[in-house]
Amino acid sequence: MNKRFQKLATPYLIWLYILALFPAVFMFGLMFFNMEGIDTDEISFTFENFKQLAEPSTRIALLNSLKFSVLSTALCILLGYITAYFLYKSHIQNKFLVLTILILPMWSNLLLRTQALANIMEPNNIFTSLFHIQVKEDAVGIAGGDLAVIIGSVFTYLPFMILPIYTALEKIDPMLEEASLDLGSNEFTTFRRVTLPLSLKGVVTGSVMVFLPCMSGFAIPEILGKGNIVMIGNIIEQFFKNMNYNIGSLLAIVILILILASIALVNKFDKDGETVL
Amino acid sequence: MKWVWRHQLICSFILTIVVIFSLTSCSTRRQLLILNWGEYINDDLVTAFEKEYNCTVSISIAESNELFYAKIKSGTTAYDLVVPSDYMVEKMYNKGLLQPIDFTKLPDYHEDDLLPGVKAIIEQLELTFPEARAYLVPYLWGTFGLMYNKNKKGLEEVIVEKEGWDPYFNKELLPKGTKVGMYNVPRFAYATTMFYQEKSPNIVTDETLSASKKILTNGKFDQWGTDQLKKQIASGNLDLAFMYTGDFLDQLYIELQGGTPLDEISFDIYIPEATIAFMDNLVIPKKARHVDLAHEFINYMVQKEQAYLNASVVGYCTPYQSAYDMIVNYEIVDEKWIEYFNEDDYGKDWLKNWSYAMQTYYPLPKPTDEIQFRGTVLSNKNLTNQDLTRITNMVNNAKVA
Amino acid sequence: MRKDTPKISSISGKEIATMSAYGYKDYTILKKVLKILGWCVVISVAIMLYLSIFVIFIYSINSNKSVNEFGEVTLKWYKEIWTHRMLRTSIINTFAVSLVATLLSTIFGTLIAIGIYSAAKKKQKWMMLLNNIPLLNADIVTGISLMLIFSLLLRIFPYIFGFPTLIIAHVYFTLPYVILNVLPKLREMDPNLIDAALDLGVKPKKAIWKVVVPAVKSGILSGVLMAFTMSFDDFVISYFTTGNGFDNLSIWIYGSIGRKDLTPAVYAFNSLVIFGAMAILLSVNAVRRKNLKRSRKS
Repeated sequence: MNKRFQKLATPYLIWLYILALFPAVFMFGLMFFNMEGIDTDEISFTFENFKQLAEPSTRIALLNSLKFSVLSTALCILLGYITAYFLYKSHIQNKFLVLTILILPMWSNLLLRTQALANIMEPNNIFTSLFHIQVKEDAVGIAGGDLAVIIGSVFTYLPFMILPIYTALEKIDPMLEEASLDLGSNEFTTFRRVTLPLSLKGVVTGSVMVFLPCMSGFAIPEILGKGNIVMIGNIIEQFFKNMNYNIGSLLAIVILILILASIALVNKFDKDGETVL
Repeated sequence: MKWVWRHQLICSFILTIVVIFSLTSCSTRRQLLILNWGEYINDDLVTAFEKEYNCTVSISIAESNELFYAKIKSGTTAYDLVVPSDYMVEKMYNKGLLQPIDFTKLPDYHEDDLLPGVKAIIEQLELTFPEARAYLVPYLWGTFGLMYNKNKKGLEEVIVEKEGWDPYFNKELLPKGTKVGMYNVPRFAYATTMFYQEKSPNIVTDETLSASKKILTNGKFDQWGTDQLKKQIASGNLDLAFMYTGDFLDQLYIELQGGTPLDEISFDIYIPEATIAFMDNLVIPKKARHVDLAHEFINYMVQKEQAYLNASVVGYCTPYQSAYDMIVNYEIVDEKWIEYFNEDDYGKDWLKNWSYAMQTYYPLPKPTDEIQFRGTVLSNKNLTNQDLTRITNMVNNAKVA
Repeated sequence: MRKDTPKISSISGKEIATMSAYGYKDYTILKKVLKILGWCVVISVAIMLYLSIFVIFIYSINSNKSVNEFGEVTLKWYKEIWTHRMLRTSIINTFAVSLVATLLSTIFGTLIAIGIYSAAKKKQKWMMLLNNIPLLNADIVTGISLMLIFSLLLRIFPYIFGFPTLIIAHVYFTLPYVILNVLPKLREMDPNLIDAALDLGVKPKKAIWKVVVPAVKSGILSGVLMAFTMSFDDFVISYFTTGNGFDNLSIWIYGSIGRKDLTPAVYAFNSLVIFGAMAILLSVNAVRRKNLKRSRKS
């Protein structure tokens, strides 16, 4: 496009330098100090903070986060792809309608949604009360276990997976599929050789969009895991809440490195650098 | 052409920012900024105060003492009043974040009107924080206890007979299949293990930390939670948990308002002899901008009727004897309160139930009692930030073990 | 007959090769089964997305405040939305912040997207990388970072925390969504369009408004939707960047769980938002269909 428009982006670059890049550098610096908040009164230079990485809780929390994020992302890919594919095949004219229906649940508060899910995962819940079901005294619900956390993540983040896949599918020229069918391959081969590879970009984008909030989130594991499952997000939150920004930054940087790795992965598939949609 | 473009965008950026700033600076009415716990004040009082003193009261909320501290320390807002608990008042004072309260501006505050429990808490606090009295005005107070499911066979007997902590940490002493919950604040979890070992919760050493970790690991808690615990016990999904007595009373009030008679309530609380006692206080930060208004507000809230009304919205106890007496002697209460606490909003027999709850769960010590008050106040005097980090890590390690 | 010869059926004595003889396999049944299975997945996904919404709706019509016991059906919580002092304020604040932030990030986001699109390839890449940071950073890190930066301004503007900082923060994390939705549409647009407009003497400002914006309308629309959603439900970033008593609904909900229970009016409000949005959406869709039919007829 006309070069004269490129000045429109300059203020944004400055904005990003101030609000995104500078804090990232600042956080990196915080890792090496020991102080309360950003109070410089009792500041001291230290490598003590790195001991935090050796704590069993940190290690297990990181592993937990990875495990749950990977599992949830995998499940989301499976469910999300099928849903997106069928929505695409059903030739709904109004893309905006699909988008809105998928995104609408998010207009309801995340905490309330998660607590509602936690409630119905218990043996005694609102439905047993509503329908006067007598629950056995030793009945056990799924809340508090690994399954509950995975279900919660999938239920919450699934739209982030469906949307990019659906967008990627929409962009495929229908002529390509027709050509493939005309040239004698059946529908399964067409899907495998034409549709799937072309929609892979959406899958990668969706995976990142699901994986990242799973990695850093703390509300879902806290509520659905009934506090038994510790994730790295919980630990980061604890430290920032207690004004220990130093260890908080350290752990946040660890996650940031994982995130940058995933951006690199995305860039490999997505040469334009357009994540999300 | 390029120049015009660039300027237009920059100009519009600047313009928006200027508009936003000017929007905020136009509040000329006196404004009182309060940082409080969620739903921890009777809104009717706030409205009445606004009318009487021609000001606006704006209340922000936070859900832990640590967040109160973070908010005051970071200075992003110059709050005029904050409601931290005892140990956090001490910490704020030590960091120079508070200003002394001018008691000459509080004609309605009478220190001798405080309940014995509150006096005991202040005395405990003064051991490490001698200036306490000059910096705080009690707001509400309470204890922690072990809430349990009465429908679980044999549980109530064990808890009462063994006096709380032993069965709480040893599942083999409890009836089979008892589900136990712990309050998900590392500092509180640590304190419970110290009570179990009959030690002070305010000491942190390597030995106590590792002992505490062992106890917490052996406890095999089914749930770590905060406000969820009481709901879980009320619905029968959990049988035993450590929590604020006020949390328990909140749940009790909800059940009573839902129409369950008092003798059919499925849960109760046992308050062990050694437990956490806490007191939330009105304090004025050093950076407060409306100090006079803050004093007026404090003076308003400590008046007998206001304290009475304020205590009605929460399960915690008023610190004032006069208000306490009003609650307890509900039969001789003024007609207007019976009208205020109408059946639609408060359920049947609210005044009677409220009186029962206060007398049962926040009892006045009898003159014959040997020790007048048994709770322990948490103190941060001897605890460094490193100690707090260690407690947090210890509890996390116990969870993942 | 040898094993590997194709099956040959005979009709009236003559031997005819069927399609299967040429390697064609009949997948009709398998396809049907897969289709049914697929739709089962779609339906269960819909249930997954709306299950919690349904539970919240049940709470909102429950006369008993307890979330585990159902009393009787009531609408009193819907009334309380308007009478509960703090809830009412926080709802107003939430709408104010989300609407203003969405509006700003839509306008700026579209312009910035045009700018990025016109920039050189290398600069584009660098900007897109930076543009990803707000999306990919953990919320708590973004929140604290912004808080630290805004506190630098405290000396000049002592009352800056509150509405202004919330707006800046929300614009900060919603801009990337708008940009990422508009940019692909720009790439799909015919690049000659704008040059033609400019060559014909249209002023650049007008060219953007009359040529580019209509061409990327659908991208802007989905950008608006995503930006609003993210802004509306945000808690962590808002929590750290607000001040002076300006709390939004999420902050109020999270804050309320510390000492006392939430009023069910919150559930009522949540249900109301979903119903309202649904109603608007369906009626817009109905009107659109009618218009489409009418235009087809004529």
